[in-house]
Amino acid sequence: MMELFFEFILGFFAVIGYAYYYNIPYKTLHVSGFIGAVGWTMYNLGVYFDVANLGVFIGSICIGFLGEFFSRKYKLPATIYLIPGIIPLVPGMSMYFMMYNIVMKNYYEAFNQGLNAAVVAGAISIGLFIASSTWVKITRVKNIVR
Amino acid sequence: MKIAMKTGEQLLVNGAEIYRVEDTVYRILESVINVTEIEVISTYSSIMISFYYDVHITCIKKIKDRTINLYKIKKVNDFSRRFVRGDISFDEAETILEDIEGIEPYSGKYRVAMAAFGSSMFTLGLKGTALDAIMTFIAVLISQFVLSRTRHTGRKYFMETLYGAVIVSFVAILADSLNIISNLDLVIIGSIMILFPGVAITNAVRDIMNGDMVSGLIGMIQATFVSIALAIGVGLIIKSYIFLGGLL
Repeated sequence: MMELFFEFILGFFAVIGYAYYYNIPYKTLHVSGFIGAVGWTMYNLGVYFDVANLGVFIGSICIGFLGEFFSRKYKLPATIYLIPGIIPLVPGMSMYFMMYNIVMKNYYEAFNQGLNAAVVAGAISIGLFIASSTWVKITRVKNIVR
Repeated sequence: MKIAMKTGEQLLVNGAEIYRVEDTVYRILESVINVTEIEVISTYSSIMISFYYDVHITCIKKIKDRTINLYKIKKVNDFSRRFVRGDISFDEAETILEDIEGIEPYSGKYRVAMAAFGSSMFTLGLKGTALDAIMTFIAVLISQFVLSRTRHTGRKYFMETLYGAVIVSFVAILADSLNIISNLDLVIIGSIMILFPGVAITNAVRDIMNGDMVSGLIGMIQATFVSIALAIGVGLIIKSYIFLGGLL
């Protein structure tokens, strides 16, 4: 539990760093840091229960929902929150190990890692897509009810 | 016309998704009176606008280089909302867009430092030690510094990523051979995170799911090539290190 909290803090600062690099408006730096940290914590939960890819998927759904929520709240385009939010989830590790194993001529392992990278990239984008399209539906239903 | 083109260009150059570009340009044109039959087509490298205003008018703009600058996207978004509402006249709109083009919210030094800081935090998050994190910081700092100093020579994205990966892995391997760091993999992973086209891949898949097939495919191919450049850069250094007799 303590470790997860530690990861949350680290994710927060990591995402703030990347967000600054991508020229996020200064006032919303902490929000994007928070969103990214939630995603990163979900990923770590997934790693803890030995279902890392599911963690990535749920993390990106969380990022999508939070991004849409805060983009309505602060009247900014959702992309501002989504781009830095997904950065920690991106399959850089798998890509690196794929390349490393190609250099070391372990082609079987390289293929495994490459496929894993593709799956993770797909999981992120499908998660974001599900979140944003569900959000659109929810707001539409709300408007009809009103 | 000019305004719509400029808006679209600014959005696209600064890394917005395709549907946002098309939607914004469409709304801007729609808000002008007497403009009908609007069509906007956009890919990652071009925008095409066509509409009817007494005569048929078509305009094509080619986009050379794309970066990610979310601040400008925010500014353009605010601008287009106000324009559509009718708060801004045409003359004002042009000056505002020119202002947006020249804006730089943060100075380059701080951006590089923050990128390095984020990467080192990421290495820590992957269970690296403090020394690993410090080496990541240094590696990203050096690579981004060199890249930003030589950017004016006009390289394309492929070579830029390649050089970045080479510098990063060179620094990491140097540190590893001096026994400074505990885990070489973590340092390299943390450092190439900033060069990695994860955002491009994710945006491309989202474009495909939104129905913008051509742009999605272009984005996928570009992201694949950036990954290949990264792999070549890191692989080159590791391979030559092994060739020179180093042990990993």
